Amino acid sequence: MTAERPGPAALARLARTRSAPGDRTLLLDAAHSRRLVLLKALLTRLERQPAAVGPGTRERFESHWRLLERTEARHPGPVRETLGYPSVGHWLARALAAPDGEALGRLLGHFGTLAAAAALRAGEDFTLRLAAPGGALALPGIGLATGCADAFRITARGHTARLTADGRGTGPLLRRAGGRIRGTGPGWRGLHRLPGSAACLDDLDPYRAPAEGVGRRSVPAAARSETADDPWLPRWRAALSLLRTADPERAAETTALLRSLVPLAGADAGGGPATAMSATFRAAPGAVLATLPGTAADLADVLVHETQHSKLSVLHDLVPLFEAGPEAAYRVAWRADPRPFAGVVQGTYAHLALADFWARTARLRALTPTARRGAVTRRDSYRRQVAEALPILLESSELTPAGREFAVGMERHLAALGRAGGLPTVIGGASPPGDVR
Amino acid sequence: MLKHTNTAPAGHHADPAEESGRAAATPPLPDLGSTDLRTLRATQDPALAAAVEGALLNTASLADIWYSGGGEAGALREADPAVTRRDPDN
Repeated sequence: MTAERPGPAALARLARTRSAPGDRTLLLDAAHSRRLVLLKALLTRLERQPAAVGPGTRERFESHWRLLERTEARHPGPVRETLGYPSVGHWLARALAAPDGEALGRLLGHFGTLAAAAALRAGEDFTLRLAAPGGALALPGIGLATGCADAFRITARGHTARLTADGRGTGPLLRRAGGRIRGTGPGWRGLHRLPGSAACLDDLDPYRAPAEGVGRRSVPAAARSETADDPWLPRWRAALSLLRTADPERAAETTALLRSLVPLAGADAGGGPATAMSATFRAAPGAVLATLPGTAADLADVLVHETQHSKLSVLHDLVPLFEAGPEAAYRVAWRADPRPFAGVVQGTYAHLALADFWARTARLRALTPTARRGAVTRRDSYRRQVAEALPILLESSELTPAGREFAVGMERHLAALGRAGGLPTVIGGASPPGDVR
Repeated sequence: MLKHTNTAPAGHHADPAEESGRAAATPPLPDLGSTDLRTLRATQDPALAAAVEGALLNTASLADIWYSGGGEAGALREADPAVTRRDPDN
């Protein structure tokens, strides 16, 4: 049976970049199905190529799989929550693409920490020895234990679990309470929850961002030492407050779909200052990667923007919207270089949501004149860029029938934003690159 | 609505390592919402098998990343020893 597709009303809503609670549930269910497809793909690869990793690695993988199965049989929720954590998607993508041998073997070792994380969430009793590359053991969505050995022993009984570096000495103690895992003790660092959401600020998971960094300047994920004193949490609170005030439905969408906010470093790989950047992985919907935005408004902008990428990525898995090659053939206002069709679709969609959000923000009564001017400027800039990009979609032969319906819905919403904003529907001319950051 | 005149010359910035032309149709996403891990491992369901083959044949697309900003003005094709990524962004 194929995954449930959105009906006409839901697709129209999503085309307007909006979403009802049922739409988000449908997208989350689809993301879960997609995650299981990738997990099955990994299993299939290992079945077809038994020699892809050594026998010891295979035995450990099977042992970890049995723990995960056993946990799921009694507690399916915690297993689904763990498998759905964004970094697990990134890990799976790397495992599927890794060459046979040592590289794949190292990646399969992480499956054990995934199983342990699920079992800890579920309160299962277990004992496990897990590899800890570089002395670090990352439990997805929970935290990181560090020690001086390359393995950790986890002993979990009831609501508590003890970690010891290779079974020696003392180590962190984890406690499960109120549906959350909290840790104390030497070498433990837990992830910070983002208030008002089920997401966390993830500055610890080794699979939270590509090892090679993001973008041409290879901006790496920020280390915990870089984020400790940064105003991420206050900025998040302020951004969420802005979202809730200006657009409660958009705020609900953001908090429903976001699972992790991943800080990117303030410097690129060459040591130069990193300019503002945000990113979303196709394999990790629900993760927003970003350098620290300068203001709460900027963070709200990032959250709206990147959430649309996750939404559209999952929607496209459910309802293919286009069938296009990867060649970069289209010029858009927000980039100086030609873009592939998929990029045009993603960018147009994200910018339409931003035009929508800033149009609503601009109508808030309590805004200062400066803030209102800022919101209007953002609204108009995004509208211009969408107006210029939409013809690329509508005039292409690469949209599926559902994709064409979707693009027409986007066009209608852009026109409605124009009427509501008192501005012409079509505004010609490209914005200067970078003016929407 | 403006007609677009935004198509780059054919072949411009095309990566010789990339295939030109349309991507193959994506297999439908199977509904695995009520599929437990034991069943997932054992099943030979054709819809799931087709989706799995699609994933195994196109692992590069799993590493797609959409990014904005960074002061960049270039299409990105990073070389990753483990995986070749595309950035169909934005």
